Amino acid sequence: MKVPYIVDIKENSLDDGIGIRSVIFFKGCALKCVWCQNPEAQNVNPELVYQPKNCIHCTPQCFVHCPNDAFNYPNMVLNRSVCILSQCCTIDCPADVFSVAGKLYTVNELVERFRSNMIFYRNSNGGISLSGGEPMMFPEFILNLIMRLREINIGIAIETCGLFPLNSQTKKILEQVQFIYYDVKIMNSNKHIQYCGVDNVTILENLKQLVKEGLVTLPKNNSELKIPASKPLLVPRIPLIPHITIKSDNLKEIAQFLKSLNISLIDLLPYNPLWIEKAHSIDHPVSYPRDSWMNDKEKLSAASFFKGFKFDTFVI
Amino acid sequence: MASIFIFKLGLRLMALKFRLFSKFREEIYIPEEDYAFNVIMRITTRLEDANIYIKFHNGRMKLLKHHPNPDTTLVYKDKKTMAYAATISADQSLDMLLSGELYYIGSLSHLSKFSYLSTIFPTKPKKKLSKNFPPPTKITEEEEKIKMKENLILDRKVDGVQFLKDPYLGRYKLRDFPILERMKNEWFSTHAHFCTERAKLITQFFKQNGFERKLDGTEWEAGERQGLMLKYLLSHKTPRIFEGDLLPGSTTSKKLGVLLFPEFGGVGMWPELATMQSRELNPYHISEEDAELLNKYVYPYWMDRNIRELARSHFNNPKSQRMEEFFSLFFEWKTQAISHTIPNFSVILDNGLNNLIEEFNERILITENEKKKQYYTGMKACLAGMQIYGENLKLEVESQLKKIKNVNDSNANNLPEIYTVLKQVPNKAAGNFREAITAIWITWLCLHQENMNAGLSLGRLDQVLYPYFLKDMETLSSESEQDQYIRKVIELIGAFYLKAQDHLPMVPNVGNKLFGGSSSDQALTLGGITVNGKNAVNDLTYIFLKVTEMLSIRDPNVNAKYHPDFNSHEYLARLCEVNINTTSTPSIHNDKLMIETVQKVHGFSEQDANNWAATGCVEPTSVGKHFGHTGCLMVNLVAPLEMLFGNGYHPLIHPQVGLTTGEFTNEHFPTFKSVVHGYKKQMGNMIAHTVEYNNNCGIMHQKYHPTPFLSTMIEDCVETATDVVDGGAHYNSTGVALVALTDVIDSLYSIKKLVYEDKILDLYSLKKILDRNFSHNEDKVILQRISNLPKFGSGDNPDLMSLAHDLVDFLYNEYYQHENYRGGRYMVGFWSMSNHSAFGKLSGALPSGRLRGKAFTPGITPSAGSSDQLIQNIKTVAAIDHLKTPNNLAFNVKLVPGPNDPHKTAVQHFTDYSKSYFDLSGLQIQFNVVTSEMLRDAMVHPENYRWLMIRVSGYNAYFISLNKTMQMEILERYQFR
Repeated sequence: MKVPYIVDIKENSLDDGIGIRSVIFFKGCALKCVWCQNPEAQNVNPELVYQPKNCIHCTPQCFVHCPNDAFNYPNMVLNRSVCILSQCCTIDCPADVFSVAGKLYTVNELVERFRSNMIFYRNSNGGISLSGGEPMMFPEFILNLIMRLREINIGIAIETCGLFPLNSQTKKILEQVQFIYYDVKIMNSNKHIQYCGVDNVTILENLKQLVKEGLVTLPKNNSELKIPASKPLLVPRIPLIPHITIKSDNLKEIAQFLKSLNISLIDLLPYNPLWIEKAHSIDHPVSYPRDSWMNDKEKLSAASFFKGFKFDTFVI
Repeated sequence: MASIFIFKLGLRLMALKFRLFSKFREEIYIPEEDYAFNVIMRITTRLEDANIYIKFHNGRMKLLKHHPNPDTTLVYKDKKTMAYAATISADQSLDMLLSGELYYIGSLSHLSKFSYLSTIFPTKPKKKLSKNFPPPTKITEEEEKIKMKENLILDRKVDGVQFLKDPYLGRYKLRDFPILERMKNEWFSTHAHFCTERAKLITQFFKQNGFERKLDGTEWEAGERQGLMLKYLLSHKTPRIFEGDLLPGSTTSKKLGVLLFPEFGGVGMWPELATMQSRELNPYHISEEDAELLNKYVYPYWMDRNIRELARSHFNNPKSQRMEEFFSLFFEWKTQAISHTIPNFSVILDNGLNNLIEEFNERILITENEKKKQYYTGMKACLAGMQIYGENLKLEVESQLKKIKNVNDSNANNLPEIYTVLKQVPNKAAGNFREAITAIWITWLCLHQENMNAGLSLGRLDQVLYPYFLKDMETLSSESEQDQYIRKVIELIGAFYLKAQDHLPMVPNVGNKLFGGSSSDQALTLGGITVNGKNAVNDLTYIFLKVTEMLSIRDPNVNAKYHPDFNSHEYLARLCEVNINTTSTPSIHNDKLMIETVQKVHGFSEQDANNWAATGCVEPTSVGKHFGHTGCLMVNLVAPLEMLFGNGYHPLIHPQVGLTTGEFTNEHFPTFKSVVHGYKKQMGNMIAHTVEYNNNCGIMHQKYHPTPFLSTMIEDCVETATDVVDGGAHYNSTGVALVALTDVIDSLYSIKKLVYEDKILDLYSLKKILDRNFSHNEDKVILQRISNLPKFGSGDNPDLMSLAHDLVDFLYNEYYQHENYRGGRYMVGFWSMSNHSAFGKLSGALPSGRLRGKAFTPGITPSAGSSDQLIQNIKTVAAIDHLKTPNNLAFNVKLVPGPNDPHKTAVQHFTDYSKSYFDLSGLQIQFNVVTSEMLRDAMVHPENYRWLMIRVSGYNAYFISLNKTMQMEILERYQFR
C-alpha cells in the first residue's frame, strides 16, 4: 500500500463541504497547476520548508547539527542540493524557520484524532474532507481510512482534480463518500497541458462517466446540499484564475459541458494569492505572478456569467 | 530637597487660606452641622526619609514636626515620587495608588477628602464639560448604516408556544415600534446626572433619628431602622413620569441618574466633586448646589460611617482589608453593595401591598419576641414606603393629566392608561400583564433605593409574567386583536428594558481606568425548564428575545437557559440569531448541567434547582429562595503567582503580603510539583484573607445595613423574621469570581516545559526575564519558545489538562471549606466582569508570554494564541468539571460569519458550535459577533459606533465607553469563523 504523506490537518473548516469539517491535505498530485493553492502538496515526497523571515537569531543550533552543511548561518543560504532531509535543523528551531512538509500517519492515528470531534460533525452534518494534493492518488489508503471512519458514522467529502482511473477500487471509494467536489478547470486540452501539466481527457471523461453511470446525484441548488441517502452528491468546482480559467471562451465551454451533463449547481473558488509565499518556502517555481486577491467585482462578474446559464453558484 | 520644600510650601499656603478665608474654612469646619475634619495626616516615604505631618483641627490646618499617632498616613515610594506628587493633579496622584507608588494606612475617606481639597486649592477649577457627553443623536439610524440585521422566519409553533404564529417574530423591525425607537434614541442622547436626592434624604433621616443608636441613646433593631429609613426615603422621593413613559416612576430624580450610596462607596466620589463633568470616560453632570450638599452635608456625615471605614475601625484595620485596598489582589463588592441576588416578584404581584401590610400588622401583633416585632415593623415600613411612593406617582399623573390641553400631546394616551394601572397596583394584586409589569418595575426601582444595584437581578420574567399574558390573551377572540395585543406586550417589555437602564452605577475615575463601561448588571433569565421540569420556553420567551434583538441595548443583561432534553433546536438557533443581530447577547447556559450543579453542590431541591436564574453576570441563584451574594469577591489568581516569584512580595506592593515560600530558584523549587505546591500555598493564604475580609464586611452589613425590603421577597425571611444578611434565606452561599485562570495554567505549564522538561533556563533567570518584561533581545527567543507551547485551549493535551483540573479542584475545595458569616459555603466561578483587564493592568510579565500591564484572558476563555481552531477551544473549556464551578463560568467566543456566509448558514454554524459545546458538557458560552476591523474603526471613530455593544466577561458594555486596555483586550481576542 502506498502510504501518503500528509502536509496538514485542519481541524475546523467551514469551507470544505457542509457543516463543521476536519480536512486532511494529502501530499502528491498529478497536476501541476501554475496557480496551485497548495504547492507544498504537489510533490509526493517530504520537502524542507524554509522561511528565513521567521528567524529570530537565537543561539542557533540549526546549522550546527546539519550533517551535510546544507545551511550557512548567518548568511542564511540554504543549499537544497545537498540537503538529505535529516530534519536536524528543525529540531531546535523555536521560530519555524525550518519545518518539513509531509508527515506520516497511520489510519488508526487519524481515526483516533477525529473521534474526539465526533459531536461537532454529528451536530453540523459535517465530517472529514479529503483534500490535498490529490487524495485519489492513494486509493488503497483512503479506502481503508474511509471504511474505518464510516464504521463510526463519520461522513466523508472528497475534493478531487478528477485525474484518477475510474475502476472498481475508486468507484468503491466514491460510493462511500457523501460529497464529491470535482474540479473543472480548463476545457481546452492544450491549454490544460500548458497550465496544469497534463491533458484533461481523463478528467472530463471521468466526470461524464460518473454522471452517466448514475454513480452520483446532482443537487439542483444549494438547499439540496444535504447528507444524501445513498449516492454521493457531486458539485463541480471552478477555480477562478484571472487570465487563465477566467476567459470567456473557457467559461462558456465549461458552462456548456456541465449543462450537457444536467449539472446546475457549482462552486466558484476565487484565486488565493497566499500560495506564492508557500511556493517560495519550498523553492517551487512561481510562473503565475499575481499577488493580489480578486475584488468583489471580478468575483461577481464570474458568478453572473454562470447565473446567465442558469447555474446556482456559490462563491467560496 | 527643594521639591519636598515645595510640597510643604503648598501645604502652608493652604493652611493660610483656611485661616484667612472663612468660606474656605467651611471645607473643614462647619460647627452648625456639627462637622469638623479633625484629622492628623502623615505624608512619608517607604524609607521614612521625608516626613510631613498635618494637623486639621476645628478649622485650622497646621504642619507639625512630628506626631506619634497619625490617623492616616500616605506612603510614597521614595522622595522623588513624593516631590513629584506635589506637582500633579489629585486624579493623577490617585493613579499612584494603582501603580503602587503610593499606598495609605488609615482611612480611605481621609484620603478622598484630602484629594478633594487639593482639587479646589488654590482655586476651584473652572467648569469644563467633557467632550464625551453624548450629542443629540438618532442612534438607530447610525446603527442601521453600519450593522446589518437579517431575520429568519419560522412560521411554525415550537416549544411551549401557544399563540405566536412565527415565534421568531421575524417580520418585525424596531421601526414598527416608534415609541421604542424614540426612547432608545433619547437614551443615547441623554447626559448622565449625579442624583443626590437619596443621599440627602437618608442623611437627613439618620441625623434626625440617629444611626449607630437612636438619638435618645437606646439601641436600634437594625432591620427596623433600615425599614424606617427606606419608608422616609420613598415617601419623600420625587415621583417622576417623563414624557412618553409607559411605566411610571424612575430610579433617580433624573432622566438618566447616578444613584449615590454614601453609606457604601459614595464617599469615593469626593475627590471628583469639582471635576466629574470634565473627565474623559463616562462623565457626569453635577450642579453646584448638589456638589456643595455632598461636600458639606452628606460626605462629612458618612466619612467615618461608610461600610469600609466601619469595618476598618471595628476589626482594627486587619491585613485582609489592607490587602484589598492595594487594588491588585482582589476586589470586595460588599464595600459597595450586597444586592447580587433575585427577589420573588410574585410576592407583590399575587398579594398587592395592602394585603401584605395587613399581614405584617398581624405578625407584629402576635409576635412576642421584641426583636422580631421590631424587624417586622421594619419590613412593614418598607412596604408602606412603597405604597406612599405609588400614591405619589398617582398624584403626579393626576397633576400631569390636568396640564394636558392638546389631545395630540404624546402623553394624552399614555397617562390615562398609567393612571388606570396605578389605581390597581402596587396596592392590589396585579390583574393583567400591564399591571404586572408595572408592579415589577415599581418594586424594582424601590429595591434600588435600599441597596445599590450591583447585579440585583430580575430572574425569570418570561415565567413570572406568562400567566398574565395567557389571561389577557384568553379575552381576545379575533386574530387581529391578538396581534394588536402582542404588539402592545412587545412595547411594554421594550419600555421595561429602557427603564431598567435609567440609572448608572457610580464609578469613580479610578474605577473608569480599571474597569468602566459596566452597567448595573441586572440579569434577566429566559427559557430552560419550569419549576416542575417542563419546557419553559413560551410565547413570552420569544417576545423577550425579539425585544432584546430589536433594542440591542446593554440592560438588562439577558441570559438564556437552553435545556437540551426539553428545548427545541429552533430555540437554540434563535438564541444564536439574536447574538448575531445584537453582536453580543444573550449569553447561553446549559440548563441541564447547571441544574445538576446547583442540586449537587448548592444542595437545592429539584424544583428550586430548576428555578435557578442568572445573577449579575452569569451566576446561579434559586429565584426568591437563595441569597448567594454571587459576585462579592473578584480574585486575581495571578497575584499569588507573582508573590511566589517574589518570595511573598508582590511587585507593586511594598509591605510583604504573601507567604515566605523561598527564593524563586531551582534550589528552593527542585521539581515542578514544588512550584505548584508553592503557588497553592500563596493562593491559599490569599483565599483566607479574601474570606476574612468578606466576612468582616458581611458582619458590618448585618450590624448596619440589613435589607428588610429585599427580605420580604426572599423565602423564609418573613417566616423567621430574619434578614437575608443574617442568613434568613432558604439557601445561603457566597459567590466568588476567580480571574485569570487561563493565565495561571499557561504560566505554570510554561515553567514545567521550559525549566523542568526542556531545561532551557532555570527559575532564577526566568524571573529575571519576567522582571525586565522580555525586553532584552535574547528574551525574544524565549518568548518564541513559549508561543510554540500548547496552551489551555489548544485541544487534547492530557498533561496540560491535568494541571488545569488540579488547579480548578484546588480552588473549589479551598474556598468550599470556608464558611461565610451566614452559615453558607464559598462557591467559586470563573468569570471576570472587566477585572481581568484591571488586574492585568496591575500585573507584571508572565511565563505564559503575556507582557506587563496587558489584560488577562476573560473568564475561562483560552488565550488568543492557544489555537486558531475553534473546536479546540470548545473542547478544552467543555472539559472543565461543571461540578467544580458552582458559581458558573464565562466562555467568550469571538465568532464572525464569513463575508459570503448567508445569514441562515451563519445561524446554523453558531448553533452547531453551541450545541456541540453543550453536548460535550459545556456550561456557558457567550459571543462577540464583531470583526476586529470594525473594532479598530470604532477606536478611531468612536462617534460612529456609540451603539456598538460587546460582551466583556459576563456582561455587555458599549465598546466606546471602555478604557483602552479593555478595548485592546476585546480587539485582540482571536476571531473565529
